[in-house]
Amino acid sequence: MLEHLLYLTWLIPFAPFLVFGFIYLMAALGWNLGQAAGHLSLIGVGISALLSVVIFADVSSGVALGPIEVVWVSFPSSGGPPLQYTMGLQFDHLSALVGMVVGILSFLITLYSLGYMRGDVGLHRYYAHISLFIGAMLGLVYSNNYLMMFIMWELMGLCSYLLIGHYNHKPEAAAAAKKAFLVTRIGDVSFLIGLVVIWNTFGTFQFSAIEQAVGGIKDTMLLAHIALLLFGGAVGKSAQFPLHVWLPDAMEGPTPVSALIHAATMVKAGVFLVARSYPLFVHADPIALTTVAWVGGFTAIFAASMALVFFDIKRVLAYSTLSQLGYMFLALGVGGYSAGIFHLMNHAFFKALLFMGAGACIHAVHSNDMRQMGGLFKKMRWTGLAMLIATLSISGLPLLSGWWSKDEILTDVLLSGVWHADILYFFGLFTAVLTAFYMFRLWFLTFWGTPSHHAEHAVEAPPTMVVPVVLLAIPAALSGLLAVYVLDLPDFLEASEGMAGELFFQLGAFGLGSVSLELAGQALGSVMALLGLYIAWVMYGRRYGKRNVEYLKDLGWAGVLYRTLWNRYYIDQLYVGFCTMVIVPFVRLQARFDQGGIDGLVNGIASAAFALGASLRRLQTGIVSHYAAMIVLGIVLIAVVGNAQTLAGFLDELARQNFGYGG
Amino acid sequence: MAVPQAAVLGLGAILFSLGFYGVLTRTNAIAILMSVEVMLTAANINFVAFGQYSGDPAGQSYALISIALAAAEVAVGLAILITVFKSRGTIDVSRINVLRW
Amino acid sequence: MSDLADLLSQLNASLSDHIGLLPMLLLTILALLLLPLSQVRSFQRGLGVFALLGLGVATALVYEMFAFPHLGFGTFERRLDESYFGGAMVVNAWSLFFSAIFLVVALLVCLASLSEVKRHEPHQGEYYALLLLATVGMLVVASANDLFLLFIGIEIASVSTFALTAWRKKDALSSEAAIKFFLIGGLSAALLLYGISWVYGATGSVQLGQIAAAAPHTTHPEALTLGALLMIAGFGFKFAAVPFHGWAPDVYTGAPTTISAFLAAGSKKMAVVAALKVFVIGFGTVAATVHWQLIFGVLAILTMTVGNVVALWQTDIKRMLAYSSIGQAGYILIAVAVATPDAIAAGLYHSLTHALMKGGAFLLVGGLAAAGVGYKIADWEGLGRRSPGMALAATLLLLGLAGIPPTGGFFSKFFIFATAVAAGDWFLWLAVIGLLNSALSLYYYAKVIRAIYKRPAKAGAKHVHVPLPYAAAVILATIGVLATFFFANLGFGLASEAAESLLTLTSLR
Repeated sequence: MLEHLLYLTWLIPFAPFLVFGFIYLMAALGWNLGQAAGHLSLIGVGISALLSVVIFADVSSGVALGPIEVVWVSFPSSGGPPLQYTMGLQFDHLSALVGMVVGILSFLITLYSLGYMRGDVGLHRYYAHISLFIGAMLGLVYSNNYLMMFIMWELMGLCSYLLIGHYNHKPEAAAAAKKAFLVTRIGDVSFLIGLVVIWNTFGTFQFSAIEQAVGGIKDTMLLAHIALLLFGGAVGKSAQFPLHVWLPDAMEGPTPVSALIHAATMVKAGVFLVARSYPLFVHADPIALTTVAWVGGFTAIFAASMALVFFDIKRVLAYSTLSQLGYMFLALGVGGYSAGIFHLMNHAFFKALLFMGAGACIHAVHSNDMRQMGGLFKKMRWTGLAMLIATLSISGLPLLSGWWSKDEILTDVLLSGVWHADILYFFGLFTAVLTAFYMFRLWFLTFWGTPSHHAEHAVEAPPTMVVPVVLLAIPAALSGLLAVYVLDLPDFLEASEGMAGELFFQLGAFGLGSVSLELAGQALGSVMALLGLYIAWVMYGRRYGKRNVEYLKDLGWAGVLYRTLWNRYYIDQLYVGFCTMVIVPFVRLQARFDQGGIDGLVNGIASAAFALGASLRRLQTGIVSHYAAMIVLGIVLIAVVGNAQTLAGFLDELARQNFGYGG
Repeated sequence: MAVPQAAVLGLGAILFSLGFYGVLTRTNAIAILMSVEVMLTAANINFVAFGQYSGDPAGQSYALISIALAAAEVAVGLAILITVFKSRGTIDVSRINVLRW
Repeated sequence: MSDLADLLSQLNASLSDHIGLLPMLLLTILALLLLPLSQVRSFQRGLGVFALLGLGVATALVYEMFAFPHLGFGTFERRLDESYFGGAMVVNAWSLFFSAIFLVVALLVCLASLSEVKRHEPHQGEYYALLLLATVGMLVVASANDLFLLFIGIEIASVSTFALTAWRKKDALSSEAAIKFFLIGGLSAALLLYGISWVYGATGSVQLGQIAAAAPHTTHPEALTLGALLMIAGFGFKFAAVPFHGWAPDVYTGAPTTISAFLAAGSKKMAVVAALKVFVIGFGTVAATVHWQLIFGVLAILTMTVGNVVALWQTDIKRMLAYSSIGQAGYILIAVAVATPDAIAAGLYHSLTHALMKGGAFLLVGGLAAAGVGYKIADWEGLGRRSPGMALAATLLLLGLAGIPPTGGFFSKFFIFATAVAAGDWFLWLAVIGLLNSALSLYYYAKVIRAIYKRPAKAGAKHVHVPLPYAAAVILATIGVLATFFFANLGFGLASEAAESLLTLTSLR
């Protein structure tokens, strides 16, 4: 019975897929579903979310589910076992936990969209793409092999492209969509090459089979190559340095899209990929995990610094997302498998809340600019309160969820033997200060002080928007506590996966005893958060407009720093310059070779085909008698072909008789 | 007394060749149609001949059925010729070649 | 009263004896009913729906027989691999697979006909009746196990489609297409029948199993060879294999578009059934004397190449699709030439995907024409904006024909080439030439897709509204094309089952 029910789990990706198909079908038939498309998506996503929660409940209570598999294509190959590509879902602790988080958030954000997107002209497009995206994300989380994961990964990339460019009348949106697509493609190519190497090395794409086989592979550099190629994909999708440039621009999309795709789910796919491939990383040469840790650690502090200066509320949140993703990679890189996933979960909750709250503010004042807001707390109590909780949580104030996971990450960094873990620890700690500062800067600018004239007539958003925001405040505050004391998260993840994270815990950077160290670390982290909060209060809370970040603009060396941050370290300009100075000439050169050499060959064949076609089509005279004559020719032809051997024998015989030679 | 089988088959072959020749050389659609009928007749003669000389009555029944089929085909064919004549004023197939290449 | 009861019980017994033939029987009766019904003036619009329902029921019956082979319904009991009329007809996985293809094509065409056949046009009853009868002919071919019955089936389908091609009597192109179709069709029928008569003479039977048994011992192998050659010529006509293809481009261009779809997607597949059945079973025992594999190999090369290179030049989409369908027939001919069980399964699967893709593509052309878009490739420019849904469907269908994922055409073509490679020997060259042809064909498919998306719409071009029945048929076909990709294993499994059931036919009587 249970086995049959288990097949229902295919609905997790396919319920939203079906909604997508249905909306497009109706559009093709000329029915624009409009707001009804939203209700349909809500139903589809609701089914998926419900199933993902049920699966989490089952898995966490120790019921073993699945995996369920179907053979997609099985093809007899000459002399060997048939080639098989299997599609399957697997329900282990990792996928159950992440799947549940994604399911719940997807549902809440779809609900929120009903309010936020109301009245948009392209509603059916929006909901079709959102549904397709959610199905793909859930399919990725639950997939049991790399091929299916890659297909879902690409589908998400497509949806992200379509949704960033949703407001297709805005040229910035179109440009941002294109940028996101192109930049993530770089990572996707790396992922794809990784897949090819995996197939060559293991002969399978199944995670379970690879996990078993990986111990037997002695060539750790090969494994490191695979791991780094996969990590390349993750860097693109999760927007880590140096492929981070697309994410801030992606904020041109509708706010629920930013919340769902560019904060809570899709950008986590990179982290998830590394977590899923952890057996590979652990068995590979240490260079692999060290790279992950350093890229993550650097992105954390690098992105946080850029978040200090911007006024666009979504852009600040985008840089914050980059920085937090950096934390997750840092955790995974130093062997903190459970810490990374823990932070992934917590961050998904509070960052989704922050984006949705920001959306409510934007909705209220019709601007992204925080200088147009201010004083909104009086007008929008619920949103403001929820945002405050999330801000406290992300800043790492004690006992809120962000505090637990950030603390866990910093402890893991401290204990690990990664190359210069001390520097990484400093990065992490300093990022904590920056995080608390820019988040409270955001909150004070938006909700505190005197309202700008835009904000004077702001009112609270409609219930479909406020309810998800307020509901999310609960996990945003408590998910850490619950995970540690109810679920016992580190055990939940590591014991079940058999992840050999200990390998990296061997050498502590400071070599302190773990209990006292943990306490010291927690205390230090909390102090850092409070420090950031205090600075923000001084600069923006107590009296806005005096000595704050913007004041630095005109101050000598500080001004240089400010402008560097404001221009995002000039990296976008660097890329543009690199493209025009190096890539374009190179491509030109290549094109010349292409046109002369390769195209010449191809064109030769093509023009031969065209010439052949030009003469053959003249045979089609349109006159029936000629067609009948062709049939006669055909009969002669097949008679000759069919009797070729007989004819050859006959000629041979003839030759022998007449000329006296031959066989 | 009895006609040899080869002679009957030979008759069939001659009819078949004549019919085929007609299909190839005639441009009048009705003439082509008649030639095709001659070819079908050749096949019928074959069926009867083979059935008769091997003592299998089925051969004759095949011939009968195919005659019925040929009749149906001719009926449809003539109807098509009429529509062509109405729309173009000719059934000369060498002049019906708007659709080509 | 007792007489009536007797009659009923006799009828019941007779029906339950021929339960596998129920779809054909049903469609024949409906076709005959349509003619008197068409005299009812107020029922004109209902005729198409009536035929559609009949086809739907027949499809359901075939599905039921395929999916639940041992399940009887009512008082009837039925087994698979049942043979009828002394072994002249066999209903098994093979025949059901092809019946399903034919019925699905007929359903799509009938659906689209609801808008192709305009409200005021005369002879609607005849149109639908002929459509049903042509389908019956194809179903007969699917289950025939006897050369003569094959011939009858082909003739039923041919004569019906001759008339359907000429259905628009006032349309000069339609009647020109019909006269060409009819004359070449008649010639081919004569060749086929004459060939059959020689095989009958050489083996003393027209039943495939008995031919296979008698062929190695025949005293006149040359009669057998002559018969085989003429039959290949006859099938080559139906197949539109080069050089028997002359009629095809003209007929597909001139006929009403729904009928073009029916011919290209459906009736062409009759030749696949017939050729595989006759040569794999009937001539399977004498492949060394009658070199049919080599002949089909040469025809495959000619057919692919001519179809594709001439398609490069076409500017009319209907005619381009006609040549493309000649090219596609070439790919199926590869499978016929290789004729290993896997290759046959691959050929069957391509028959299925091609039926969906080509049927969908022709119906799309028809639907757009009904919405006022022309037949030239240039007329489709900017379609991406004028009708995004249909543009997407067109893209998927054309990608399928080119053999690019995510469409069933990708797998079916891949299967054909892979089985040819696996068979080794000179079959390898068929795969190589097939691949080259595929690459070539991409050019003219991509040309249409580029026109749809890249070029701006002509000034003043408005949104295109494809009539609902047409749109529904195209969308169903497109869904089918996607489904044959995503459920390739299921589809290929069914094709393999059908291919295996063909090979077991040899042992039947």
